[in-house]
Amino acid sequence: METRGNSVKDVPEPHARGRVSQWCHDRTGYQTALKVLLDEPLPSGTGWWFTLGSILLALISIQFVTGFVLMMYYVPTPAYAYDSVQYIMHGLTFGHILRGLHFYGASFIVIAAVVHMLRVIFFGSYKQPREVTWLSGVFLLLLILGFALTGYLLPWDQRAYWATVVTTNIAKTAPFAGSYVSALMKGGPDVGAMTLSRWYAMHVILLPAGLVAFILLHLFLMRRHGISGPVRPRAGRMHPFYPDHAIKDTLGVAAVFAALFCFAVYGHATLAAPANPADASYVPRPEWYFLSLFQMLKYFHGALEPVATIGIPTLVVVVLLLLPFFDRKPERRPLKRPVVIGVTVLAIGAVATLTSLGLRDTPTEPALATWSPAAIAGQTIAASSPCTSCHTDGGAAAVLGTAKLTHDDFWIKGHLSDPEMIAPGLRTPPAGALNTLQVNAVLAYAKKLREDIPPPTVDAQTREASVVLGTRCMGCHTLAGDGLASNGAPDLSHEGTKRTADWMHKWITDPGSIDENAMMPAFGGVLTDQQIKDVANYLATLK
Amino acid sequence: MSEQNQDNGIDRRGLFRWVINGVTGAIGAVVAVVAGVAIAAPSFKKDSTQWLPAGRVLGLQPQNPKPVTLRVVHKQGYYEAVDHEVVFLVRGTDNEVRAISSVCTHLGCHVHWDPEARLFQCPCHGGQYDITGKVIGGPPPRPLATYATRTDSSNQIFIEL
Repeated sequence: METRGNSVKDVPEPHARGRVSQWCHDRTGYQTALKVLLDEPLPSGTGWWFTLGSILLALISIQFVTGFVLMMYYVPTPAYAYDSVQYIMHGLTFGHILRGLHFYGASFIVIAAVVHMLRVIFFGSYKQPREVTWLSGVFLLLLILGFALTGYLLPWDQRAYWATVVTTNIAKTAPFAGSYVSALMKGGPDVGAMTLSRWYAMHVILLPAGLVAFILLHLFLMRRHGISGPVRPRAGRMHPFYPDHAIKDTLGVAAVFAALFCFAVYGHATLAAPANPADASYVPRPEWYFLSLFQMLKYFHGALEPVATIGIPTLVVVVLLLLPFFDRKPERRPLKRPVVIGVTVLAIGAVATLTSLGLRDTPTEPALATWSPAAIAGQTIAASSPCTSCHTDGGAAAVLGTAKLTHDDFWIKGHLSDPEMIAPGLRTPPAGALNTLQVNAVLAYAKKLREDIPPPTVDAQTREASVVLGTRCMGCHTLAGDGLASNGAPDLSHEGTKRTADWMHKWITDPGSIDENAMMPAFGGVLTDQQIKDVANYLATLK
Repeated sequence: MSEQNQDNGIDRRGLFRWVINGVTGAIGAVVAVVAGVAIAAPSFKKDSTQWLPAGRVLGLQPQNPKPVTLRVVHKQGYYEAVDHEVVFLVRGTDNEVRAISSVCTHLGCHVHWDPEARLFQCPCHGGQYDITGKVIGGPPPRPLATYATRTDSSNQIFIEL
């Protein structure tokens, strides 16, 4: 047990008292409380490494404030979660800074917590009598990762949705109770509304309560045992925390806050396309601090998969929890503790390598600003009969493209196959049902409306080519993420790099004239020559 | 410790306290401004107006108010609320079309046009307005609200709501 050095009486008053503060102190005694809180005697040589805890506390406080305001605007339902985050980012004054502080603050907290933990390991600060302080710190780190995991889903964008699908599937690989744990996490068989609401409840109630409880315990234990100080005790008298060390804490917090604020203002916190469970083409990626775990999954297949998903993470947590009970000698100098320091350095190297490999493998997000031919085809369909029999100026429903679309794909599909379903018996349903490809084209258009991407200006030839591609070719081919991909037909996204317009014109008109074994049917008698020309010319531009 | 050193120590600590309070206050102020503005801003944002089609001039009898139901989209943050508002179109003798709100300025009930009395009557507390929306009797404190209108080349009427 360390000696406590100076008593509270030996240190100066934390504040010079003015008349107002004296009046308050006489009635509340708050100066005495401040004195007890701030006059922690610190060993000589307590340096900048010991500011990490205060930086972490400041970052967590900022998360509480920004999280509280975000809760006023965020709606935890699949129908509105994405829209509400979009509103925060683009409609709310200072909203993008607010979300930026919260979004990047999460990454800053993970970094600060890990660096704080590494400082404790390298300085041997977890040793007797601080074992329980260390344990509370490990639980705090797990709670912080819990915040990061649950918060990641809340924007309900593609990244959030698919990362959560992967996370819940990872939980499923746990031995014995895996499928039960996964079902509990999801609140049902799939990631959906129930998952979002329970992860939100965890994020805003349970985890904050746990965090506050463990922070109080951590601080109480820190005060009870005093801070460990430099590895080699230095001669000299103890110094009060305030203001001798608090000035370092303040400057450290100021530097970190300045960096966080710059990220929040200039970084534009990520918001991908809205979550689309039907989009099988999306490649999920977790947030960068889970990337090493994600990358590790690539090296463990089949029966060995649980080793990476459950085994290694559990082992790391168990080793962290047991560290002060393995390493019990009072020696704190790093060079005299080769096993602990060696394993820590190896672990840092492994995480850094896996993260860097994961970053290298991360695919770029598809360009949101572009409209695929199917989306343009859908827009053309929506602007023509039968849709315009209701969706028109002064009509029964809003003009498509002028109001925010909140219905999901499932609802739109139902509406397109049975337009009467939203108002049975009240109005005459328009004649002529849409076929599957036309419905898919309208869904591609609806996706662009939800993403709030303004429609491109296209010439008549491109529109005609898009309509043909979207409502005919997408039955077998794929293009820009749309299409049914059947009959082994190739993707057309880069067709211009393979064939000329003339060749494609000939091929579309009569594939048999080029290859007698061609599987593609001739469109010579189905499409007009102008339509085939438009399609061939358009495809030739896709490089 | 000499008096001089003690004085220096007190000065140094005094500066530290000043910097700690100043920097902590500045960080708190930045977070408070961002959070405070984000909380307060929507409360003071005015609804933007939109021009809505409301039928044709030819369908209106002069000096005979005609109620039309308009589909109005109100942005409420992330949510778009769709309201249906009833507005009276009145074609004057000069052929000019005026749009008068159907909402009584007393307590917000909907007025209706009484063709015999040639008055807008409120069924709740007996408010009465003439064909221009001016208060004739009852408790309403103000005339009925009016909206800007315009007519395009095809005689289509638009109301700014």
